[in-house]
Amino acid sequence: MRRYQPEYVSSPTAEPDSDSNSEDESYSNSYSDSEFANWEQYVCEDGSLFYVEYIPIDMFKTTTATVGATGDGKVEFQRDLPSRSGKKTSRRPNKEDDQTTSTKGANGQILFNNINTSDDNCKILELVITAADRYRFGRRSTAVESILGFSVVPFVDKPECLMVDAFIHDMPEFFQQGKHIPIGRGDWFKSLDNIEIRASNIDDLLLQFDEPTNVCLKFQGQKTAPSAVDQTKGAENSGQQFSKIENYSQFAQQFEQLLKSVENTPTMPFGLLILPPECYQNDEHKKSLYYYPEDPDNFLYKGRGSFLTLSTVLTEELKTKPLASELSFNDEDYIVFYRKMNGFLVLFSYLASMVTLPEGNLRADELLTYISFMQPKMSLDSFKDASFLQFMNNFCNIQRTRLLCQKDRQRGEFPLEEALKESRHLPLPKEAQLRVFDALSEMEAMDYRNWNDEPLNTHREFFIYGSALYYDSFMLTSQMPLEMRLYMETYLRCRGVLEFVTKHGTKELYIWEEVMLPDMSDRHFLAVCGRGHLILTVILKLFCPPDFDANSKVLPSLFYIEEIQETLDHLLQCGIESLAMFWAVSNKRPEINNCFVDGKIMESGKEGKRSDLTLMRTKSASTSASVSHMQRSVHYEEDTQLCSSLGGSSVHSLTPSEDDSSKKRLISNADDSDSGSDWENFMEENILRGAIDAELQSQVTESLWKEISNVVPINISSGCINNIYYYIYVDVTNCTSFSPLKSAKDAAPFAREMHLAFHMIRKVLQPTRHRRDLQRNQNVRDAIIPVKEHGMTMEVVDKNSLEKYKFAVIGRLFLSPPREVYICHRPDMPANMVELAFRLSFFSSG
Amino acid sequence: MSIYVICLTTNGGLPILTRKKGDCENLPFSTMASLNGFHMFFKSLGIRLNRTYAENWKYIWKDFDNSITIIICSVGIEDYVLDLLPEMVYGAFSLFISRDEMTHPTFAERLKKESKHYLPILDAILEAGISQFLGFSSCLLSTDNTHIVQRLNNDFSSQCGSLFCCLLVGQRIAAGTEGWWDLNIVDRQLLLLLLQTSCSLQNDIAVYLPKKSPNMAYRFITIPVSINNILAVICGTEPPLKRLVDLADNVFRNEVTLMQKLEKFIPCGISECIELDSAVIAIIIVNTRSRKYVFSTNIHHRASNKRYIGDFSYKDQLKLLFCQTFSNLEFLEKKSYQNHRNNCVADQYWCSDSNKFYAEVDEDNNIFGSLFISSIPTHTMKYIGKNLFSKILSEKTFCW
Repeated sequence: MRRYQPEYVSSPTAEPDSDSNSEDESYSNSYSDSEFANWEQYVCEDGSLFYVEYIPIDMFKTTTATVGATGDGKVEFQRDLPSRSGKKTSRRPNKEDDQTTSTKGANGQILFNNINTSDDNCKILELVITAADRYRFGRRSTAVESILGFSVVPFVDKPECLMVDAFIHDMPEFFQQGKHIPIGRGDWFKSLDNIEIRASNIDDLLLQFDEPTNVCLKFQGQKTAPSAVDQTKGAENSGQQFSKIENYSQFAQQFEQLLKSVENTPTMPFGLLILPPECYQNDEHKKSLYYYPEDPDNFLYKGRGSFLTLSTVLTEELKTKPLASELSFNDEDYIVFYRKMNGFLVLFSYLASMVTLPEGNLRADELLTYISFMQPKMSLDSFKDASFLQFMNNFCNIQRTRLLCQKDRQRGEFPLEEALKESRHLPLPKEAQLRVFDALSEMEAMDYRNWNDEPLNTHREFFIYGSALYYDSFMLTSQMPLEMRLYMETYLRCRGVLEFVTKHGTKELYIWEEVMLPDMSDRHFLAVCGRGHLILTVILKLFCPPDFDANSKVLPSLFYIEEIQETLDHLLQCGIESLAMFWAVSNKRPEINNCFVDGKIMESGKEGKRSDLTLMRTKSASTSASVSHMQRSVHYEEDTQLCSSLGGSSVHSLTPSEDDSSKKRLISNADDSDSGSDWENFMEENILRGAIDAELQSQVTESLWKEISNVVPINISSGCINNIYYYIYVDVTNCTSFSPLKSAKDAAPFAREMHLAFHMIRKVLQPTRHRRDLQRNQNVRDAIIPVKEHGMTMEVVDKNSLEKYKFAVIGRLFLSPPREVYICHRPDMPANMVELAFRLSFFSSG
Repeated sequence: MSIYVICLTTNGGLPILTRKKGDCENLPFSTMASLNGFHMFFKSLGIRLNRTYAENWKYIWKDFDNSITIIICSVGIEDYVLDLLPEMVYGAFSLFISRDEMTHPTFAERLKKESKHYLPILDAILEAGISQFLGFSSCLLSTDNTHIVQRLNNDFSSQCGSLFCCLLVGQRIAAGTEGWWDLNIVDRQLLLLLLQTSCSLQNDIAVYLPKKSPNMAYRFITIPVSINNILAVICGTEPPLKRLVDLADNVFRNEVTLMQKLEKFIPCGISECIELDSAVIAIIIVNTRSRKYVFSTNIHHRASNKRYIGDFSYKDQLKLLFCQTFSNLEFLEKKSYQNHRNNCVADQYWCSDSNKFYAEVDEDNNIFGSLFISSIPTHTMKYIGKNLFSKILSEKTFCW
């Protein structure tokens, strides 16, 4: 891999780096003095841990620019960190850098007057530079940025002098490595090889170095002694900036406040009842039940006997399984969902105005999965157990707040992709994915690498079962078995962790908890670390020596948590978070039309120009070609998956899910008999019609069609306006969904109706997926038509502005491999373009 | 598809009647008692249980006038039909017993006495719930409709003094006065089912109209004007049947050829002047405000011929898809009301292995649905559907 970094040579005046990062030093004491290890005192009695330090939302806004970006808000993706060594050096310098920036930032403008000009405070750095690096960060970067690796700005009070403003990529680490006094933001860039640096001469000076040359840079720091004072200030600042949550109960109690829920709370938006049939069979267990909210006027509690009878009559006498009931109480309509767990009746209730039937079913399933995952041994005795009751209370509080917040945010309708159990996938560019896979694999390999032990005794106490990386609520990468990932994600969702991280940037997040995986006898632990908006989750399997007591308490493993945290830091340094942030807000892969101004869809002017720009970008960025027919253009890229040079590499094998399914998709596109698409027929017909002019033409046509079949469009437009408003791609095999990330969803004035339509269409398509099961029943078979595609055109009139919006929503079901594609597009989009929309490149790679 | 109907007294839970339709076994008495039991218990706690969804079955509970509780258990029946069924069942009782009598403690006795009248109607309701469009009146589209409406309004309705008249061809309504279309669908369908279950074509029956006039009886009079054409009138005590028969005879005596011509359309329901593309298997036009529909199969289509030799699959498919279309519209309307927005669905389409279905909606509450062969491309289907719809609506003589 090409290294972009200049070759730096440490200054002889500086002492070599202390061995704090070397492998000789034990993992346990390497960071013992660091504040990162503070979570240890918050481990609960049962060995679980839930510790968060976060940036409150108002604070977060002011610091967003520096989180994950390089000071000036630029989003950078660092390509050239060697994985292991880069990882090891990451932690402490990063912290110091944070502190310095925050201190200086708090002080306001940095003045040249404050610079300590005495020679003994001089910082020296030697490095090898060459003018050949001038354009390595693109043409917009300055010479200093690209050649030296940091950016400079003039001092306010002395414009001819330059100060260090920000560092490109990981360079701060380098600049600080092995120095007594690290070079930081606000330092005066004094001289280069004893030539005094001025704003006027810097560019010419740097461009003289045609050959790689060893140069000596001199910097002057600020007058204030940096070490002691800065650190205390940093600590004070961090004390002000970051809030702590020490355990899960505290988190659950503060959750509503943290998410700033709606003010007008309905009486009972969410209710829960767990009812063992024994309540009525035995006086001893009369009170063995749980209900939420704990209010005697809770209708679930009041009518518990009737609910139990209803469920029993339907199950035992009518031989069917109750799913949901609609009922009214105190002039409010509610929907109650019936589920069973360990022989207990579990009821969830929602306000009918907030949750529709299909959506509620999905929610109830999710919550039940979580309860059964966390409390697999729930029994009659559990109801007397304070920790169980505490668990349930926390759980219900969080669910209630989640519901209210989601409904508030979406003003009514809940996006389909957020309701589905499938993980929301945010595919990063291939190269970033490789880096993540590298880092995760390296972390996973840690479980048998114990540096201090004999080779035969290499097992650590845990075996890493799998890991998955999330950015906010999006899954970036998973190396976990599918089912395990689903459980783990349900855990994160139901605990409100994903919502929390999305809303607040976390400084530190540590979760450690024992989890019971179904059908697995070994003890498993879930370890979650978070920083910023990245969450790394790992499932660990306890490696039990023969003499190990199976029921003993297992405390969080410092080694593993630090390994995970380090991997996370490494990923942050690599720029994965910045990149994910960039992808999440950008309108990429495939692009959608998200330009609404004053509630009206722009059809010309600005939109056109924007679209043109993006098209040009797409063209230059990939090996794309464009086919233009009069007013129409389809932009596509050759699929790089099949011809990827990574094809047989080990890394490739780590990404089986995406690549395989993508291949399958391509293959199935060529002869997908179940797609319900008009494309295949169209192709065959046209070949036949083209055969008028001898065989030659048919051959040409055929090869052309084949070629087109391998093309995956990424942008569909008529003229310069993008035709697609929204899409949801649900990959049933891999259990992932993919949709535009943060763009049009809330901006579209018709978003609510669009989401409703997606839900309605899904409801129609679902029975087709389960057709075989349903066909056993004669009564049902007659009443079901296996619909593979359903579409509708809708018109929405905003009552206030009287603007009229028209859009079409289509859902199509593919059976092999199973996937669902939902598309919302302009209603006047030609039919062949609609077909192409179903062939959009829903997977991305470098 | 199966339906159970259980009627019980609201206060005591005494069974009044049970009925079933479809491929299902009789419900044991204990199950019926339980179904009513938890509904009653819920009620005592201030909770009103409206509906329960099970894996395939749907259950609905409804109380009427604090006298009768109707429980419907169904499988394979659309939601909107399920909502209408209890209303229709209670309406069948209310045709013969006034609202006041129904709320009287001795209503159970009265119900027993009237059972021979309403039981055939109940069976017809269940039959229609499974195989017909229960919530809509079946109509016939002919180019002579305008002419008949004129005769009905100018010559018959005005002279007999009733605003509620219609001419039925077979079991379809060819023309009706405005008042007839303004009747609630429950009243209108019950009257038509009453005629359908009656053993004679000429009737003069005293009925209450459950929605329009639950306490004051009207006369429902039917007069055959030709072999398959029947004139239906709702009127008060006057005029006597004899006078109405004479009037009908006068008005329609000279329309014999017209009547014969109308009878020809009975099987296909739509005039021959509308040519259906060979890709179209069947069409349905529905007006959701006046609750009427026209259903027609394409007699030129090879597959649709089967319909006459006992294969009803196309009609069933069309019915199911139309019901889903209608449910979607109703659902959106409800949501639109909740969200204070004004939204509508302009068109919908469905593709399955065997067929495609396209439905278009216009501002006048018309839904036009057509069932196509599966090989037709979606855009062609939309084009043909739209064209056909505008062609039918622009035909003024249909008087839709």
